[in-house]
Amino acid sequence: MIAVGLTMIFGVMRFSNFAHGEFYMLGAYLTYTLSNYLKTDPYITMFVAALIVGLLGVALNKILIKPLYEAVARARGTAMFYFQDLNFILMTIGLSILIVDLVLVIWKPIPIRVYTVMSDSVIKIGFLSIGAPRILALLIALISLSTLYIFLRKSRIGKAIRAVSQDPSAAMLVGINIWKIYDITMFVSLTLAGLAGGVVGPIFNLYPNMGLDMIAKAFAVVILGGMGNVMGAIYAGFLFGVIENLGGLFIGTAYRDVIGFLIMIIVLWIRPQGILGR
Amino acid sequence: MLLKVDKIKVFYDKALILKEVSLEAGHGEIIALIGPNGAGKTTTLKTIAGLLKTSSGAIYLENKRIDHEPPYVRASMGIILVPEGRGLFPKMSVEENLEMGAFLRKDVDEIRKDMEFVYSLFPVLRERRRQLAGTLSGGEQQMLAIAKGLMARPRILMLDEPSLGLAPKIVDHLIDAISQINREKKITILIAEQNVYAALSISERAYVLENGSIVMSGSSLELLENPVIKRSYLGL
Repeated sequence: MIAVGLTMIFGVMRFSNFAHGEFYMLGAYLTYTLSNYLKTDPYITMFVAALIVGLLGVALNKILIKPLYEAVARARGTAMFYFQDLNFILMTIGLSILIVDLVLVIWKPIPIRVYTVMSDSVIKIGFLSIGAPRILALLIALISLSTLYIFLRKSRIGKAIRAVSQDPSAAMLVGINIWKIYDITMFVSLTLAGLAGGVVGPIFNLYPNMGLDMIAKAFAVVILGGMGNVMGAIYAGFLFGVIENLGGLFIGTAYRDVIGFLIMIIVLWIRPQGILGR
Repeated sequence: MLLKVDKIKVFYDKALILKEVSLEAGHGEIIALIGPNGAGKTTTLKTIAGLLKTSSGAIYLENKRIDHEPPYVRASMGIILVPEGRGLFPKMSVEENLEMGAFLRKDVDEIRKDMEFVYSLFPVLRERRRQLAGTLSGGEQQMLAIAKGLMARPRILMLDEPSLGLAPKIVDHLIDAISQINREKKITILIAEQNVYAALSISERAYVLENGSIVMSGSSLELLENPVIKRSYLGL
């Protein structure tokens, strides 16, 4: 889910969001706090938290990204270019540090456990016992990603998003307001990141660096699937998870991360455009 | 006047591309913009569509000043550009491209009718309506680009080098289609072309652009007979 959001932002805006992991982390922390205050189960509050994170994305677009885009466009004297300028990369890295530090101040550095009514339920499939939160995580991921897929394929706005990703000038020429599309893209992809954080809360502990630990893997998945390719990111995400865990099983858990990135390097070597291409 | 371009000056990456360009297009006219490569034809059209900004001068649509509007607002006012390179969405089907052309419209029945009209204009597009736009031949892509422009119900349709890289037979077909569009739909057409003979033969008036300035203008028939045009553009 994180990688899909990341690849979507890249595909539509050509914008590498290095602060993406922090929105995932915010989703997790907001879910936790909302549950505490509202005395409601995280499986309900995580959706509220995800929407808040999505709205933060729209705010980020309006307050930081658009003014910076306009300033860079003025300095260069051209009307159109993608968000590949170094300024944008530095801005998201700065934002990432800022959010991590804010979370450290607000929630303190001690890891937090999120309890839900599902925490202790175990589901047995044959001889396998799997914790209910893990099953729910898979279900929520599948449902949200297939909804996203149908939205992009069938809806008017979804088609406009695809049009902008294929050719922003041509999209403007048919009357699409690209800034509105950028807002929607940020909203959708950061809502996904926030929801991923909420879903992960009941499985692992929360800590302020969880986003930083995730972002490298998310970028690896995005590269594997082909930069900006939403379906590619979904396939690559599954592939990455399976390879990492099988590798962990056969070679040793200490080498789990090594195996995943090794695969990334090999894929970049033989197929630099990713498995499915752009 | 439907469209009036008044002494615009345009820079691109700090280079002065248009020194001072003025032109006018009336309701239902076909206007040609001719001139050699690099004269500023594409820049002129892009600036009218809003993809490039003017540094001075003004653009009016029916006496309303529009040069500060972004391109998507100008599209909603009926100024539609079919750009050089065609501006298609390569990973969408022919029919989806036509739907995107009608993005701003809500009148579903009328959109259907217009789609029928463009399919009758270019029957090959109907045959290929499920095919991805990126897999069409050059001529078919240009037909789709014009058809997609028409789906917006433009008041002024600007065509940038529609004949570029196409076989003469296809060019003839496109030229016929363009005059048919103008006749039947009463759409004003502004066409930039290096194929000077084709452009002058379908247009009523023409402007000659050289080095970022309009150097000559007048009725297309007169320009066809003009010795300078004959020598430098028609090779006679």
